[in-house]
Amino acid sequence: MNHKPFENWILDELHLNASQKKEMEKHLSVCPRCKRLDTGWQASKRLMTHAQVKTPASGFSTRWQAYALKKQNLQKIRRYRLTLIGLFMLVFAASLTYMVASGSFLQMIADAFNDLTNMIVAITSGLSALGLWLYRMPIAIPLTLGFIFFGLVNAFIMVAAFTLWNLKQRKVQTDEIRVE
Amino acid sequence: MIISEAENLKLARQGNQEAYTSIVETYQNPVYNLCYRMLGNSEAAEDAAQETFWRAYNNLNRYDEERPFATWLLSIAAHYCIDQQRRKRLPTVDLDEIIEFNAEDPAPNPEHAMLDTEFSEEIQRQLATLNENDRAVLVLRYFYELSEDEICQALSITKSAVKSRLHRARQHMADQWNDDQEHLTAERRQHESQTI
Repeated sequence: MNHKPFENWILDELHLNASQKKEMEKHLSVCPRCKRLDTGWQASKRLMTHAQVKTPASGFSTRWQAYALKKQNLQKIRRYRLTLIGLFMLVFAASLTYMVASGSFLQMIADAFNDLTNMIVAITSGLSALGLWLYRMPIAIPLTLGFIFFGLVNAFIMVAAFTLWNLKQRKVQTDEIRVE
Repeated sequence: MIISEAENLKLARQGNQEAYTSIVETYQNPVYNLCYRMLGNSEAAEDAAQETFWRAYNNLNRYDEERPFATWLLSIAAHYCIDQQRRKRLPTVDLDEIIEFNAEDPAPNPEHAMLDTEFSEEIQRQLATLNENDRAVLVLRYFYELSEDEICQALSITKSAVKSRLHRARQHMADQWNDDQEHLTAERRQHESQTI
């Protein structure tokens, strides 16, 4: 049995002529599948056309006015922020242009590079002095200091790991409660 | 003095919020109803309806006066609700909300009121099982009696898309109704056998 044309007639709500209507009725009387589809769709359609119009709680327009006011204020704040960011960008771009054009920008980069080099030299010489100082000291002192330092670091790492684990456990428990 | 809708729109376009508020009063029910049918609970529907009116207010200059204002408004609401559904993908039926007795509904006949609530409950349950695009097309077609051409305009889709979505949605609703009926019959039989 070919159901397709009848299914389309039902679901596309086509206007059927008299002979098509007759054909449809004949088919519906012998085909439970198409009959089921037709009954289901007609019932659903009836539900939709008879469903009551949902209305908002009274005072909707007053609430809308408050909502609009809130939105307008948010818009103002957004505009204000955008203006500030725009101004900042403008000043930044103008300063950068000026610095590049006047050559002071390149000078600034060179100075920064120079400062960085000086800092590396200072750190290296400081470390070398410390090494010399440690070398003259009795071996027990740096060893003890080393043990204390690394012991503290290890303790700190263990406490942090335990705290993280504990937090994770609590989250798992909370999720379980929510699911329940 | 009674001001016509066109005049109110003109005033609202000039920034008169009072004129726009009277437009809100006129269209609050259809917009809210569409949002409710799309989102399935009154809180989300209220938010969506307010956002719809706000968006319409901000875009009044884009409104084409040759189109009916109601269709334009419903199109904004439908688009907003579809976006919301896509973002959240939350269950759309709030059963407490459906069962809740609405004291403000005019109910001269308790029997009719009960029937209305039952229809509303059942249809909302069925609508919730549709995807948001098919639901929007179906709601606009049967709750607002928009033609296929009007739905095309409202949802910015082609006529063949409207037709295929309607076809799919009708099939789904029919199946859903039949499944519900079978489920109910089975439950009734079980209840009767327990009673015996």
